[in-house]
Amino acid sequence: MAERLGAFEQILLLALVRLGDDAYGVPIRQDIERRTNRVISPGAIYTALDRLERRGLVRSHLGDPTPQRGGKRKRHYRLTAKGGAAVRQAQAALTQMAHGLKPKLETT
Amino acid sequence: MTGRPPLVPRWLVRQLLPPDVGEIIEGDLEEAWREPHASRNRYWRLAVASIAAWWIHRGRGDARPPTAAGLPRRSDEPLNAAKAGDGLMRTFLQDLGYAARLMRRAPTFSAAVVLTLAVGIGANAATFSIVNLLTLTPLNYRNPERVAFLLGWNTERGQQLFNLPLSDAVDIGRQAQSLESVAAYAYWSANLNGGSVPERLQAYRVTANTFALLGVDALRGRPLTLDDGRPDAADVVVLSYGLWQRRFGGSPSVIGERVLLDGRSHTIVGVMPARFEFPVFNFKGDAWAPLKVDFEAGVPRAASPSVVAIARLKRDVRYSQAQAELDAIMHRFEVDHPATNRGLGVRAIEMRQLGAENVGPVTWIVMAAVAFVLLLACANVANLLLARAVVRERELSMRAALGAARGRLVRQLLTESALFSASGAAVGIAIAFGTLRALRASLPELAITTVPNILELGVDTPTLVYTGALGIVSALAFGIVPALRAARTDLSAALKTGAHGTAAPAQQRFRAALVVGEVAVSLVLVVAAGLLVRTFAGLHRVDPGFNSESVLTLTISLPEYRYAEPAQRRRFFEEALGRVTALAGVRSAGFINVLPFSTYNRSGRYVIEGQTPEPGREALADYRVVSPDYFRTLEIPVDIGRVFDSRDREGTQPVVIVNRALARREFGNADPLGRHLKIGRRDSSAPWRTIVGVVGNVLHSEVKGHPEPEMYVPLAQNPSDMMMLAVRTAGDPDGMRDAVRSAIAAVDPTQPVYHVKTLRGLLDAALTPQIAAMSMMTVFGALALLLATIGIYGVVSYAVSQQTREFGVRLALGASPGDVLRLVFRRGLSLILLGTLIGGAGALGAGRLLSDVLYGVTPLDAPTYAAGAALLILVGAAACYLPARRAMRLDPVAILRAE
Repeated sequence: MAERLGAFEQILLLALVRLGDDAYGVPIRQDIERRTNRVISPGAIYTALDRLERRGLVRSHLGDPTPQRGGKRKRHYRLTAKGGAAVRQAQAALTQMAHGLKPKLETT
Repeated sequence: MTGRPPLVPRWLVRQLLPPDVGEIIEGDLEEAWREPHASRNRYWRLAVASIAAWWIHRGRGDARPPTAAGLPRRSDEPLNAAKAGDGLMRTFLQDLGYAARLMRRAPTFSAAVVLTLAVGIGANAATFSIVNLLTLTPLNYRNPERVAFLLGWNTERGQQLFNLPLSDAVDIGRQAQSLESVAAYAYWSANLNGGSVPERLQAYRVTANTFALLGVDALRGRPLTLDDGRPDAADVVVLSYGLWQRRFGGSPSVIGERVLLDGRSHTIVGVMPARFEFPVFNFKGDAWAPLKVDFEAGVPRAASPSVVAIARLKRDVRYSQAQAELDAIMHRFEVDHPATNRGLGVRAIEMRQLGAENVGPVTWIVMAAVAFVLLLACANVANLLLARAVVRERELSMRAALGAARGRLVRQLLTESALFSASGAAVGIAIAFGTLRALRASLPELAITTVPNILELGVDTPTLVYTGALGIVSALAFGIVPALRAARTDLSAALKTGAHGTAAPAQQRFRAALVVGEVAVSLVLVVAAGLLVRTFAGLHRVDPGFNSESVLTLTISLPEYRYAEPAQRRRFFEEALGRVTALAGVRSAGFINVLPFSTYNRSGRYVIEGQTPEPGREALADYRVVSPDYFRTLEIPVDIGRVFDSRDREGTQPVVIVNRALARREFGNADPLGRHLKIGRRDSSAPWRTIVGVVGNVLHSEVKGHPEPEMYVPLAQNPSDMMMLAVRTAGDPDGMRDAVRSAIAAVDPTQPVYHVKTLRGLLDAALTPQIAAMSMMTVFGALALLLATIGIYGVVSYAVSQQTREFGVRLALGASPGDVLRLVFRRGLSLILLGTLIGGAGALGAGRLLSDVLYGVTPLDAPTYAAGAALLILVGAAACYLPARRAMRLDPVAILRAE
């Protein structure tokens, strides 16, 4: 069965696609903030990623502490095959739904 | 952003998130802090939002139960790692999270609990803040606990005189070993000229050592120093912060400037800080100038002015020791100078304590009352929790069955209570904050000008600490019984009965007892409030001896430099009277030196011709200087003889009018008219005055007090410098303010008038403490009634829902709805009646405690008790009615089918 994704979950997964291997909290948050103009707290990101991980859509591992982080460790995230499929499917569905609507969306 | 990120949010992240989550989020926040658009504000937002997001995440049950951490286990750690770190803090956080989730799941229930607690805690916090300010907040002096009043004391009558001759104050300062120093001050109603409008100041002449004694420094310039007090020193003045701001715009260059005070040029040498208030329990000073005293030479006794003396006790000297030494010193003065010092003692009292003495027992009564309100709130919350415990029994049983220890369950329930209590305290502080702010905005003028620190009234640190303590105490008070009970219930039985929980009989009894207690406590408060309301009504009805309606009053103090001659003063007052009386809307007008309830008083000794009192034992009476129409204006009755008229001038036979109290004391039933009286001591050179009339008694300072003997002399023969004007108006006296002001300005435009108030206003101001106590008690009584009503409703309503099946069976077997109604009422009303009986007994005790502050009503006032009981029974019955109606309308068929 296809995984259902919420809007924020889609945004997160798309950010992971863009960021590739290096995805952890800070770049994810910066990417989302820059593109959507929304201020997102780290807590919101990790809780959502936690839900996604339990559904098998992302995988995480702990990284090393760095001095910029005050000696704290990072948690890196990466899409699983299942996650990649889910985000593709969701995007395809959206594109299908939006097909031909661009002029209309821009006038309303 | 450079520098360290804010500590508090980082600490919160560490404390409120499990370590593995906290570490990663803290790292992210650390990096965010280095971003270009970082700010403290943003750090706070991100941190708080992160914590909130995680708690909500957990609250939804999204987190994986075994780790309890919410975030995925570290893949490189064994499964049971979280268990190993399960400390007390972690358990507490788990409990807290669970409690928060429960709170969110039952929003109505939670809101009811939190609001009930907030009302109780808020009322207590606000009351505490007031009482703390009135009785405990230290004065802003150095070691204020060693700063004392040395109050004059009449040893023969055991009466406080307040003032002391300056000579005695100076001599005490030279002799007393237990005192570091003694200073003195005298009120000086100074007219400030220069600038646009003449202003009259609450100024004080203080001995030059006053500021050193208090241990205070100036904000700008310097305070008065010893050199300023030398007889040949230049005239200097120190300003209050308030005067500096309003008159000089806070200009720093004011030091060294000269101002005209009563026509004399004074150099401004200093400005005191805003928080400096002196004196206290008297009008706070606007300006202080030195009272020039030669301390070495002392002050001659015969011509010594009257002052208020203050002292600083030496370190480690107790008040009792200082008092003992003062008693010995005053006794010596009495022996050496009987003419001036007979019967004169001194009482040393810590300056702060005079306020506590004035506020007196009412404070503690109000504090007790508000504590009872919180007790009621706790009872209601306990009640709510017990009702809920029944619903939760299955959940708790399940947890116990799955291996939770009972202690763990109790802890869980107590954590829930703590969370409720903390929320209640938070909302309560908000309530207290709002209440106090409203109160501060509506303080009576007399309070602002006399009560120390009053403008700092608000939620301060002691209030916060007190509120925190209240929160903990109440959490225990309402939480402990439900928690213990819930953990003791028969778990297997609860599991068997299924979803419909039923309360154990013991629990029902406990809740019934709570209701009985609530009714009893409410009755006590309602009766106490009723007694105070009746006291106030009684005080309001007291006949003060004059008619206070439709009278406008104001005060004028003529400065020495322009009105040095008695003739000048006489001319001013006569002309002012003429102009005011001629105004349309004025019935009559009269001057007196001190109006009743003006908070001022004057008194003096007198001798009746033919009497030979021992020197120093001359009788005392209040001293009044009046213009002829004063008696008519205040509608003070003339018993015999006449009032003053145009015959009583300078140079004619000196005359005096006495009141009934003086006539009775001196002459009994004999005729006082034509007898002679001298105002002053036996050996004084004052003239003998003929008594020409006897007038009615007038209450002067206390509505509850007894009329004192009074002697009136005509203004024309004794033109004082400070006089108060009373104007009887045809219409609203407030409407005449401007007309009267301009009539006086027409006589002398440089002459300020002040204290423009209605006579009714003066009288009401004297009742302020009673009004305050009564209003607070009424509010608390009403709160108590409300809480008790809710409590009764809750218990009866719950009982009805528990008995649904029973009622169904009864209805099915032929009982009428009326029977069911009666059944419910019988249960509810029996609790209420029992509570009323117990409460009545409690109210008798409370009434006895109140007896000191009651007036015109006995502590056993039957109508008050009856009305209070009736009110409670009525309100209680109303609270029973709703659930009873529900029971009456039950559909037996539906109920039985459901079974």
